[in-house]
Amino acid sequence: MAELFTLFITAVLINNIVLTRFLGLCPFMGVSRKTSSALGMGGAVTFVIFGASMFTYALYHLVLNKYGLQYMDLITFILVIASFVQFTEMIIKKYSPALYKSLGVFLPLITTNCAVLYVALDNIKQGFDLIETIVYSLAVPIGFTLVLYLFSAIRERLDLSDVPAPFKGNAIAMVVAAIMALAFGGLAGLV
Amino acid sequence: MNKLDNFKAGFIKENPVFALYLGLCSVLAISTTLNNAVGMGVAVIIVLTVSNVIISAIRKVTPSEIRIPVYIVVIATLVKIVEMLIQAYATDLYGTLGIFIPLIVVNCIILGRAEAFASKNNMLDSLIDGIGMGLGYTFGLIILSATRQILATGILNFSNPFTSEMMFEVRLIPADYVISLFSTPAGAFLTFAMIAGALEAYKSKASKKVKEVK
Amino acid sequence: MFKKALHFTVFLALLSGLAGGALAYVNSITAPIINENAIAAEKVNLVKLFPGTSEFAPLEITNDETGFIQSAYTAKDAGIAYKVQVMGYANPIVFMVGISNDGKIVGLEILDLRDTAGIGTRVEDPEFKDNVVGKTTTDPLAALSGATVTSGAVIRGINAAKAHFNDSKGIDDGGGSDDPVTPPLVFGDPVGIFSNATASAPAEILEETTDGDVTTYLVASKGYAVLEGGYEGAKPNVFKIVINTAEKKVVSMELVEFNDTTGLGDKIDHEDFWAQFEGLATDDDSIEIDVVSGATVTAISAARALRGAIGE
Repeated sequence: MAELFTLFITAVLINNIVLTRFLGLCPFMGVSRKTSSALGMGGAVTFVIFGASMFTYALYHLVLNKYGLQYMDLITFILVIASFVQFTEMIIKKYSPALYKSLGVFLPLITTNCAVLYVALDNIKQGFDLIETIVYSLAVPIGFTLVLYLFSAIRERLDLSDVPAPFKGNAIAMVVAAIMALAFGGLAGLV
Repeated sequence: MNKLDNFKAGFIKENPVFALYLGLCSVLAISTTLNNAVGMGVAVIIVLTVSNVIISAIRKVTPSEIRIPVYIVVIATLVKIVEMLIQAYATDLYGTLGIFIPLIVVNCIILGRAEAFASKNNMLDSLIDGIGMGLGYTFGLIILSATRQILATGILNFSNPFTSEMMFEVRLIPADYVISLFSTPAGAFLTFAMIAGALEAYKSKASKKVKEVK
Repeated sequence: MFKKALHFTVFLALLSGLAGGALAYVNSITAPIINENAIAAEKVNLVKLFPGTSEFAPLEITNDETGFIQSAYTAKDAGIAYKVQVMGYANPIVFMVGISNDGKIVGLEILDLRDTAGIGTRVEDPEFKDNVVGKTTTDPLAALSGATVTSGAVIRGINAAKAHFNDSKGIDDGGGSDDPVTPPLVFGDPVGIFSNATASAPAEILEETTDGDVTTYLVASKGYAVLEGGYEGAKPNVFKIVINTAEKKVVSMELVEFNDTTGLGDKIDHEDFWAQFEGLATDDDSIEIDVVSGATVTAISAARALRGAIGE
């Protein structure tokens, strides 16, 4: 139980997927400056990562590993992810058209979000069992949502500040990310 | 735009990394040494070029509704092949690049070029576009990695990925003055921001000059 | 509409089939090379553990509950080499241990160690290797005193390898604990209870309870923290000494409150140290005990405490 907790905290804070692994940056840079859409994006990503991880885990252990087809992992995983995103899109469109509208083009782009494929592959690479996979594939996107939310809050203020011209937009966003990475680095001794 | 301009644009003005902000994930994560930069860059050039050519070749028979899954299958297959080759023939590189090799699949550059260019142009143009964009990506990656490596360790070196022999090694900053921050994530973001800001400043100066001339 | 869906499915299936075929082909070429590389990477170490053997093959580990064993290789007609990873003081430690077919540990190679220089790195010294190499797979292994975290971790890893070995060869190791045993105490020079060493900084009797022939003393005796550490708020060590006043003999001695350096001074809290005090004659001026190597000042504070309890 303690190990699961450590796994969770490590994935959310210490080895945060955006600030230490550099994954999931596209929505990080491109997502709007509003905290509400950050949460919506974070929620969608959590759903996709968790769902896709469950399917890819099952696929790997029940099919690919059994029949010695491990080299098919990349191609099957990405197809599972693409399908799952498509499925998620349909659900969101049906049950929350407002969210669908606000996420816009970023929803299908979750397919190419490095973080999703990373978690799917990492679950296999780290040799997790089912419970560990569940914990990890929830913890990572929660960490992502946390950082995304904090970042969008900072950006709301940043847009009102006097940023030097060459840095406006994405470059200053990177500087903010650097400072956040430093801050999160201080959590390293937590567990 | 003529072929040469297109090719040149991929290096500076439309550099996929620093101007278009594509493929960032791998760029930041592995840009710690020159070796990594060259290794990843070459892998991306190969995948980008070959996938561009293949997608261009089948563009007339690919049904438009399923084009995204088709591109994904092509790109994923190529990436996996490259991964297996690296694992077998350049084991050190495989160790340092690790999980970022398979992540080339979701590198927005490749899917982006397939959709924006290769699906609409002939094979030769797609080939050139792939090489141009790939070289631009590699160029950006090398600038970032060399900067970080020099500032963080003071040394710039390169070893042959197939035989692991060091090909050159030069110390540019004495060991006591290195700033190890640059080998951390924070340093990666910071270096990237500086280079991106510099590029932006250069571009706006260049366009100001054009405006003045007119 | 249906025709279109069929068209799409066929196209994708064909494409995936081609892709799968290409992947299978490349895999067939690269997989054997990758396997060779895996052994080659370890070959240097395998030869160090089993010199004279040239044939190695990877061995699949399936029943390692600890998760420490990363990989294993059989050395033909010689034994099994295990590559183990454990968590040290702050960083993972990777090492290889070779166990010969007749159940002896024949070699230990530390591959990756990043613990504290001079303390954790002592597992790379001959002192530690001699402790381990030559022991059979049923002998318990002792940690290094003063480097217990690092050496304890390494020993737990070795024990995991031993457990797998014993399991596969059907050797019964009595289901012993996987933790290292307490290392034996290393004694230093003798110090007389009534010598000059104990003359300064006299101990203070905090409490004295008499119950017939037996008197129990609670004595505060300044140790390292007070005398040499110079720490703010440093406190003396407190000992409980039981003396049989009729027989004029020390019955027992123990440490009640320890205020010196953890990991160093508390080495004296070992049954072998206290055993020295039992039976000492309280009317004999020449009684002495041996100090503990690496915890001399704290050991002397114990002697001083006894001197204080016995009185002049």
